[in-house]
Amino acid sequence: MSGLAKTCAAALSALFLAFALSGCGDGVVIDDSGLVMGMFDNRYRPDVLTVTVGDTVEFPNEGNVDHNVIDVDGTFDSRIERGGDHKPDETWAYTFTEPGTFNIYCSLHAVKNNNTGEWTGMVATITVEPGGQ
Amino acid sequence: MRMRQRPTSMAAVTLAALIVGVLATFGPGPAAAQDGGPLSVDTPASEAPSAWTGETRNVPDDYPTIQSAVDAADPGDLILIQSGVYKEAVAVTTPGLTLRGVDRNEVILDGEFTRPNGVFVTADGVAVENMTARSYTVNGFFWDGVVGYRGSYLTAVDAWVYGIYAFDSVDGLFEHSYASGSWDAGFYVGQCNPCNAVVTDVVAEFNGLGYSGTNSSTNMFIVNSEWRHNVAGIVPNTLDSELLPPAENVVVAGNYIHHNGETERAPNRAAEWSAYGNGVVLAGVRDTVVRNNLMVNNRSGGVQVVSMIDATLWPSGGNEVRDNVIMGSGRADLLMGGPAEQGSCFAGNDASSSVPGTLELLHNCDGINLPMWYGLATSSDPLGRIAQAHHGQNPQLEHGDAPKPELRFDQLPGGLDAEVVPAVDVFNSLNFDPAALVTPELPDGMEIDSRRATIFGVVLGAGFWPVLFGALMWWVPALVWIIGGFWALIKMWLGSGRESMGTGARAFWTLLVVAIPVLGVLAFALLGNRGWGVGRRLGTVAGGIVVWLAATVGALLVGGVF
Repeated sequence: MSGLAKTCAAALSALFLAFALSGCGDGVVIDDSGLVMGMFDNRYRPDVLTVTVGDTVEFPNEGNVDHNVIDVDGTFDSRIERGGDHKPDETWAYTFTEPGTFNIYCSLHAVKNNNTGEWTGMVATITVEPGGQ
Repeated sequence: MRMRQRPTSMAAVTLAALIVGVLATFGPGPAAAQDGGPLSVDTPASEAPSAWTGETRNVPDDYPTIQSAVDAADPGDLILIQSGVYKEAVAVTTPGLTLRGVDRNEVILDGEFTRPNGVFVTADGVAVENMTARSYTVNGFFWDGVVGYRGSYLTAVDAWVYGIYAFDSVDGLFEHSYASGSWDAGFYVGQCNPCNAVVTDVVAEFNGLGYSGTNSSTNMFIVNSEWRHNVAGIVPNTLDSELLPPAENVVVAGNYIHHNGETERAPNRAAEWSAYGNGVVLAGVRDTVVRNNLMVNNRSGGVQVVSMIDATLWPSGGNEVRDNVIMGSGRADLLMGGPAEQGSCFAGNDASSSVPGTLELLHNCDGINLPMWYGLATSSDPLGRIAQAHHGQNPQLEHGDAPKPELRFDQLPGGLDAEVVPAVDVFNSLNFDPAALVTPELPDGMEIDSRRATIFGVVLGAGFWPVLFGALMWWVPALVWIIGGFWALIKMWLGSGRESMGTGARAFWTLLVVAIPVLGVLAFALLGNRGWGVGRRLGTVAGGIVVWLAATVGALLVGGVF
């Protein structure tokens, strides 16, 4: 059988397969609700988020390796509830009950400058504004 | 690398690609954008000093730990580390440092299977030289978000994710180094464009992948190295989990790639397993050159060009595979598959087999290159491997169970007196001529493996899922064309068509059935076979398609591919 023949035969197969899969999705979608911060490799996306007291932010691991979410000031640490790092496709959520600025990092993919205390690498900032009082 | 299976909307793209394929015109093969030499691109400014300060921080004489020396250092200092086992995870946030061990095999950073990264650098221009990192839970040596990096004479053993790794970093060099025991990749350069990076004279073994490069593009050279006994050898790829897709303009040249296809000695997960047994896989990669490599006894293929199905479908295309020496491949020396692959070409390879069968004839870089997108004959195998992994059929190793190398690796030339050079303007400073790379010589006494038992490109011993997917995605369409074609010709020329069809009509249908495989047969069965009633024709064709589609999609679903 010629290469051309194989090409056409396989092309038909792929066409059928493509139709079977069509209409199911459009690739990576960055959630625009303002309440989702994805854990990609090796960055949070978005890495700046503003929410309101009472909001619950979801942190889905959209990457291919483990990640976690830790507040620099120790307010929360996703590993405690999970019992470890988050595997790909797992989601962790946290409800912010106090206003303030929360600087977060992934302990696997960020490092601290021991002189300045600044974290670099996989880091992000979440600003929590007071509720609608 | 990990292939994620999210549904995607690609019918329109696929249909368009098919139309292009059916309306194929003949023309010369496209040259990859990066024809083997460096492209002229700018390097971002580095924050590191370009010269050593003259200051040396001695560990442990002046500082008890590597981290304490690093914290005390000024930009451009040398951290000189004496022999010993350092149970640390070192974070480097000061630019322009050089971390140097006095003995590569006796300066050992030990993660003890609990610490994440051996040396983690987030500052520009840091060079790490002449030491070993072992047993870290994430990476051995890791540069993240930097301009300028260099890893020389490094050994990474049992770094669980990546051995030696640069992410979101440009202007770098990995050289004279070794990595083993990582489930993802021994060497990894990810998310950069232009990367301006070279991986040269390294050895990777007993990893999921020897080299992985997700979304790493332009002036990305993987050269002059040895990749052996991994699940797969060198795998540039495109994924949605990192920025800057797709991967393009990569050069893989002058490497010795052999005996990949490890089952019991290399850790892996689903995506690594999907590349099983191949020397080089271009997965959703564009305009890349694979040339002058020696590939021997890889359990599946020498070079496999396929599309990548992630959240987005990433077709491969415009790649150039030439002048490689490939032998002893289990399935075929050269493989290309889709869906939607278009424009890659092959030329001058010393290879004896391919899937599909005449790649170098119909997709020649120097002659005819049919602009057709390739189908699933090749892709059925990685899809089947994903199903195997989904069902736990890829052999697993625990962290630390991969074979250990003897720590007798080459030392940094010059030792303590070697020149101290921060990693600034690394790429432009290299005395590097890719055009000078030649194909490695076959070692004396190397026994060449026999090709594994295959039928129409499907390895019979590959296991249930690869064979099932090969049967559904390749054997069935092929049989429809062959057997259906004979049936149509008999109908036309010996059966009822002899009386009901004119000579012109029979000639037309003959051409269609022969020249447009499967589609021609289906068209004849539906429109040309007037001996059957309309209902029977519709039922036969539509029923056949529905049954095939249901079986294929069902197998993919049960296999966990989607």
